[in-house]
This record gives sequence, structure tokens and C-alpha cells, in this order.
Amino acid sequence: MEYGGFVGKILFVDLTTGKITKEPLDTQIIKDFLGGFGVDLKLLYELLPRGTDPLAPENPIIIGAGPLVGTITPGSPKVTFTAKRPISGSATEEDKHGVMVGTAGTVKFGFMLKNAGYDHIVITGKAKGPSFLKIVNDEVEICNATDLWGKMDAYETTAELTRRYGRCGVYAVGQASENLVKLSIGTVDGHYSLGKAGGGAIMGSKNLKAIVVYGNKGIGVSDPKRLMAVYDESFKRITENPGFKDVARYGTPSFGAMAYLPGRNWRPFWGKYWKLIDRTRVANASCISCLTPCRAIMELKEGRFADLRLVRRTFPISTPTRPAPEGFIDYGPGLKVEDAIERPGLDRQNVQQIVNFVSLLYERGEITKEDTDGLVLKQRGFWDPDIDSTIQLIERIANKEGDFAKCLGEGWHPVSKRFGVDASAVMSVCKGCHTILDARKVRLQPSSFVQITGPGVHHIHFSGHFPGVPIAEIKANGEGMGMSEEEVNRTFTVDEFDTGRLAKHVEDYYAIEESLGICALPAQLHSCHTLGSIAEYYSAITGLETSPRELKRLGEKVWNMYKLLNVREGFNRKDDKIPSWWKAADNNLLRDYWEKPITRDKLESMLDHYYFERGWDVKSGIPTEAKLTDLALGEFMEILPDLKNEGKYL
Amino acid sequence: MIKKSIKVNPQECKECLICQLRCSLAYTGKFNPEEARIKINWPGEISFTDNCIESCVLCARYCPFGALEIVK
Repeated sequence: MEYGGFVGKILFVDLTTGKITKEPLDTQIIKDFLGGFGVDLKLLYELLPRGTDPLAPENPIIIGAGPLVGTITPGSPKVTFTAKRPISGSATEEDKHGVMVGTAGTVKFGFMLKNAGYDHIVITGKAKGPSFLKIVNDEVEICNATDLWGKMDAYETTAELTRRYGRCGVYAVGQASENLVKLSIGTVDGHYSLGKAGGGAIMGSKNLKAIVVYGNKGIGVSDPKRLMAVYDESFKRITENPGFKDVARYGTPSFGAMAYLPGRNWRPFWGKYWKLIDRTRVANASCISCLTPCRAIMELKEGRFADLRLVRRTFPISTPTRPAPEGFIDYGPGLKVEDAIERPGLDRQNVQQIVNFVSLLYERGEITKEDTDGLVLKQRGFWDPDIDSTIQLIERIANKEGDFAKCLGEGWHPVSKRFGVDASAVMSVCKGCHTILDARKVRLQPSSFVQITGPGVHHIHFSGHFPGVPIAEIKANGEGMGMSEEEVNRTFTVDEFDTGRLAKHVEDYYAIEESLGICALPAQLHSCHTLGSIAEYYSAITGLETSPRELKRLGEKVWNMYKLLNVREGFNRKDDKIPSWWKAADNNLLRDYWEKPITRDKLESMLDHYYFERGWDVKSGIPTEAKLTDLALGEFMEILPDLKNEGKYL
Repeated sequence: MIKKSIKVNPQECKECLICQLRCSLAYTGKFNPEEARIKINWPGEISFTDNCIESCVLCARYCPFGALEIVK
């Protein structure tokens, strides 16, 4: 590859035939789609026939590591997992799945993959028996995993493969994925979850237990001197930031934003628990290149579960800071429950909340022991559910034991259907997954709004719009994300901003970060990057001279591609639907950034403004021919449905 | 090797590997943590390879967490 940062190859693995091929990474594709997230989507468009069953061998798993991954660019450890999602993504149609892009920070997997010589891996087919994929530089082998399958959880598998191969990156799944539980997820490098919305089940459907990778070829840099000049500037800015020391000590809980993450479905909102961190934290650590050490090792020192050592935890470092999701008054059982969820490879966010959901139905008397296969889900008090029955239920979900647990593992819509209760009317469920942020707490502003408009799964794109941030700062942040003067002028007034319009730019920026491999968390919370610094890193590393404006255009292009792939699976404005729980709960506490109540008309107008800003068709909420032409995406025009049949889209 | 120019505080290490990235860029011209002259076996172990230069403190200059301190 003539450009730095990229290593120049895509690895194709067909598990059915055992055929392994290496194709050059086309230089045009990186100029059009940046890398990582963007290139994944372009590859998926070519490989995924419309209407493919997500658990069929034809559904490809595409893993990508953008051009800044494995370089010294601050906070650039992200890898992507792109596929058609097994969990339904529609509020009303169970068979509407859509395309997911999961992303995760990595310690070793990302840089090892690049150092082995691959920017992307594309896995198709289904292995004859339990297998894992071993990549050691040029040697690629599909190995027998009979001794791991059904015997080891995701963390044990990671430890075992590390024992066998030494320092290496590992992506592994647990028993829940082997059992094709749709609420399952993989674990990368033994700590971060990758593949939300059913990625683990896709691994299981391919008989693939793990991917292990080692590489030591090196990642080239076009202009090291220019790179270190911009790095020195970033390093100084980050380490001199007043919050840096707290972050280094406590990790993510030191961020004020953590107060907005869910606790027992936000009833009541939590807040005081972060002081408990020191009682359980053994150490915390970063991903490669990152100055925000957000992962931690937790150890319980007292109580019934003393000596429980949690594997490296992830964002948000929930545990003692966030015992509320499980509702336990003592954080010990909270940690135990999280361990029970994560070991077999269940999706923590969704499983925690789906257990909360059925417990709520049980408390209300809407379901009984007869519905739960004999499990008593009633709590002994608000903060004190029965830990044993909770853990038993989690184990049953992972093992697909009994009709009740099997149904829970299928995701939100099958559960809603089974009990005749719309989950989104009781929980913050949107597009088939539990949201990351609750707009009633953080208000309906761009960071929460993008959970409605995002085409695939919910991503974290904190963009500094939390309550109390001065408007001037939000405006500066918008300019930092590459908004033009014209865009700023139509989005901001002296004392307000237009949420729908600003959300569009937040998404574009996120697409740039994830395509290049930058993590949104340190990038935003630490003021570690602006689009200007990202453009400088990209130019210095790759040798492809770029500008913030050009990156902004490519970010928009990537996001349109993401949308197009979901339009191809039947998604439109009807699916961009706010959880009705946000409106119904707490006496209509849903408010905009300025605390004004949001009426139905206001909400629809916010969405209209979002589509206007995107240049999409406002009625159908999908890209127009003119927009695709403008973004040089004309070749994908065939995806657009016939909008003359408007009824279908409204 | 044991370096006199750098004091190692492994308990402060966060495994960000910035030291290895900086070292490999300086001595191999590429980002290649496996070829760095500083070895990180997190948690708890930091060491230097035999070909590490005693006077070089580049890794310590870029450690953000105080795990590597330049001895003056």
C-alpha cells in the first residue's frame, strides 16, 4: 500500500469451503469511504443480498480497523463489526433486521490485525464444526475449537488462546453465542464488548468461537515528523486538562456524563454510588494509544460474593457506580449479576433491562410463575430483588432453557409480542435495543436524538450537549466538528440551537471517527480532538492530504451509506420512532435542551429539520437521488425505493 | 536490561502502550509495539530489551501516567 496507516490487504475467509484469500485494499475505496466503518459498509453492500437471514452462512462478518488504528493518534483503538443484525430493528415488524456496525476499543486486537497486514477481515460461510480463526502475519488457519466450544466462556477462551499463542489479540464468544441466543455479544481482548444487536449469535451460526491474531510487520507512517508535531500538541493539551488526573485515577466514572447512564430504567436516577469505586477497583487501564483509562479490574472484598474478581470492565464502568440496573441495594450482588451476564457472552445492556422489564411485569401481576417457568421475579423491596432467581434467569437465557428464557434471549419484540405489552411503552427501547441515554434525563438534544435517527444500533456519540453546557461551547463544538459557517448559521441562534439539524452533524463526525478508528469517548470528553486535528493526523500518517471540510463530506457520505443499507432492508421514517416510555413516564418529563416540554408536533418538527439538514426526503426519511448524486453515491441509487408509493413510507 | 536513566513504576501503568508506539516509530520507522525496546506485560511488569540504549528516555517522555520517570 502506497499510503501510511493502511496496511493494504483485506483477508477473506470462507468457512464453508475453507478457502482463504487476500485481496489488496483498493485505493479508491479508501478515498471514497475512509476506512474501518465506511469501508465495512461498502464491502457489506457488495456481499449481502437483500433479505438475507442474519443467521444464514451468507451473512458476512466484516471486521475493520481504520487507518489511525495502531498508530500513536490519541484514542485510536477502535475496531468495527459489521453485519446484518439478528435482533429485529423495527418497532412493529419482527422480520425487519437492518444492518449493524458494532465498534469497540481494543488493547491488542486492532494493532495486531494491522501489524499482521490486514485492514479488514471478511468472514462468510459456516464451518463444519467448532472452529477458531488463527492469524499470525501471513499464516491464516481455520483451527479446530472442539476443546473450547461448550466448555469455555468468552473470558476463559481469551485466556486459553493467550496461553497458547502468547501476546495476541482475541475476539471470542461464550456459550450464549454458541446457543444462538440473539442477545449475545463477543468480547474483544477480554474486556470490551463488540457486536451489539446479535453479533455473538452470528459467530455462533458460523461455528466460530474466536479470532486470534498476532502481527509484527509494522504500520508505516508517511511523515513521522509532521505526525509528532501534532501529537506533541495534543499530548500537552490532554495531560494539562484539569480533569486528566481524575480520569487517570477513576476512569469513566469521573465524567459527569456518567450520571446520565441508566440505572434501574432510570427510576429513580442514580448518582451517589461513584464514591464506592475505590472499594472495588484494583486497577484501571486504557486501550492502545488512549489517555483515558476507562477499563478497570474490580474485586469484591466483602459480603457473600467476596473474592469475585471481575474481568476487565468496560464503558460505562457500571458495577459499583451503577448497581441500580439490577436494582440491588448492595453493589456486591450487582457485580455478581454483571459477571453472570458477561461470562456466557450476553449483551449486558439489553439483558439487564429485559430482566428488569419482565420483573416489572411480574410485580404488576401481568405475568405469573406460570409464565416464567416457575421463577419468582418479585422483588423483596425496591432495591432488593432476589439475586438467586435473577442469576438463574440469566443462566437460563444463556442456555436457552425453557420457553420463557428462550423468548427473552430473542430480544425485545418477541418478548413484547409474547406478553402483549409494548416494551417501548415501559422501557427506553428504540429500534429493537435498549437506548444508551434516556432523553428524559439528558433532555432531547443531539446526543439522545441520534438514538432515534441512527440507522443501525445505538452508538455513543457524546457531543457535549448535556444540560448546563453554555451555548457558546456547543457552538464551538459544532465548529470543531467541521460545520461550515452556513451550517452554523442555520443551526444556531444567539441563545438556541436546532436539535434536529445539529444531530446530523454529530452523526457525520461520529462516522469520521469510527471510520478512522478514533474513539468518541476521549475524543469528545477530553477535548482531545477537533476535526482540524483529525485531518492533520490523517494527512501526516497516510500521506493523503485532506482538510476538515473534505473529511466532513466523507463522514456524511459514510453515514448515507449506512442509511442506504438499512433502507435496502426496508427502514424508513416510520422506524425513527421515539420510545413511547419517554413521553409517557414521569408526567411527561420529556423536554428539550431548554427544558421546554416536547409535544408530538415539536418532535415531528425536530425530525423534519433533521431530514432537511440531511437533504433527505422529509416524508419518507430516506436519502434522495439529488443527495446521493451530490455525495458521489450515484451507483447506489438502485437501493432507493419508489417514493411515488408514499403510503408505504408514512 | 536495567536502565539507570528511567525509574519504573509498574503500578501506575495503564497499558496504553504509547511508550511502545513512540519507541518503535523512533527505531523502526513504523508503529510496531512488538519490536519496541520497552516491554509491557500488564499488569505489573515493565522491562527493557538488551538493545535498548541507556541514554534514551523517549518512552518516559511520553508516558502520561507516571509509570516511567526520567531520572535526572
